[in-house]
Amino acid sequence: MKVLLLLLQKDMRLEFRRKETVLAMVSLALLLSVVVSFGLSSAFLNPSTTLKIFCPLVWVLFLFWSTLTVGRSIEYEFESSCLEGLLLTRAAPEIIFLAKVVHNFLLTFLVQILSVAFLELWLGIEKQIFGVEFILIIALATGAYTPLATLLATMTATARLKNVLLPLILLPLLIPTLFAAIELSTELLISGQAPWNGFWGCLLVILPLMYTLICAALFKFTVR
Amino acid sequence: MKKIIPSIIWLLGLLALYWTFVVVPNERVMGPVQRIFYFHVGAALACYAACAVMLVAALLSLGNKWMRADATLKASVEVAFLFCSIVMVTGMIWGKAAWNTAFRFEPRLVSFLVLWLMLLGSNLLRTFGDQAKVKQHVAVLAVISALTVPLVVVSIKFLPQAAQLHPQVVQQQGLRDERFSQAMLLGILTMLSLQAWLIWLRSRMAFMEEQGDGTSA
Repeated sequence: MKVLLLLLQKDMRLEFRRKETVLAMVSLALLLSVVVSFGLSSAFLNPSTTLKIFCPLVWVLFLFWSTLTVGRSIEYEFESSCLEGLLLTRAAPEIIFLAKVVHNFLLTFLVQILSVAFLELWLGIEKQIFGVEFILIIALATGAYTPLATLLATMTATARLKNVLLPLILLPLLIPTLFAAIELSTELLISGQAPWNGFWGCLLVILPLMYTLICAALFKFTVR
Repeated sequence: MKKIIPSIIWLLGLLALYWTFVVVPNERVMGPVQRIFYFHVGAALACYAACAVMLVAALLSLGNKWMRADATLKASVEVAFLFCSIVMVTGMIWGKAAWNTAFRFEPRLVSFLVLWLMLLGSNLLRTFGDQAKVKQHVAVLAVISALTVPLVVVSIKFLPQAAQLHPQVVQQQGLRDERFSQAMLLGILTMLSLQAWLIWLRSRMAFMEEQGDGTSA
């Protein structure tokens, strides 16, 4: 735990100094939400239709801006062979991986909250969006996304076409997470209650744990 | 042995073609286009079988338990991609005839599309990935993809019932004439044999390339 916290502190300090990843994420989230809002405004949709497509838009935009920027935090580790240095310490590869996952989770979660707020503003959604349940859905979906993204970003960090390869291999694997997040958040927004005891609720609760365990176990093979 | 097995597969294939186009009568509602079903189902099962081989080869490759594991993984990913493409194309041809549209957001089609994308990603990673670690990377991706596929299939079943358009021929006992069942079984047997032979052939080639230049194929 001490090693995990030390590594997390290192990543957060580096991010605080450079601000590269978080700025890229926020800028991309903002720009994409503006572009989508411009596109939708010409369709002259009525408020109830806009409300129905709000959650699918939130999650599709999330996949775009997060996939394009999550790799940056991994590339730091390959600069000056930092990752090799970390692996030469007694820190277990799983701990190094978990520290990276927690770091990416915190950044992605915060920026996703901002992204939802931007989209709500540009689309003129009058209904109250942010409640405990909605934030919980964002946290769980981000928790399912981050381990996969971190592992695959590590694999593609030294590849040719790395910027294109990561979305190509990551997005199909995120389909179950995407479905669960969209179904739960749409149901919450329309009816006021998310069906947590249904299939999608159970899936969204299980996926973060499942992906974290599997990806942590597989990480050592990707850096060997 | 090297010539006997391909000969048997050729004979099976010819028999399947004969049964499909000569013996089996036209289906009452869809007519001759329904015959694509006998290749479509076999290709789908062959694709799933290749994915199972992919998972086992990936685990063996990660554990360094078998020197041919990576070659078998490479072969099974390519063969699974081939059969998945056949399923997609034959499904679209059948869909155009049955629903007047090549693709609908329908559970089976979407699950195969996602599987096709995962297999495409694996092939791209093999080609453009970091060649020093590509064996491990592709094996890791294969394990995650193989675990995600059943998740996708189950998830899609929970979509609204109106979206479930794929014919449930066997479950709804549509093969009442035994000639239909025979043609389907021949198609499945042919595709599974072809899949196994292609994986064996391709893995041999990949292993020889690997040994030949000392790098992964």
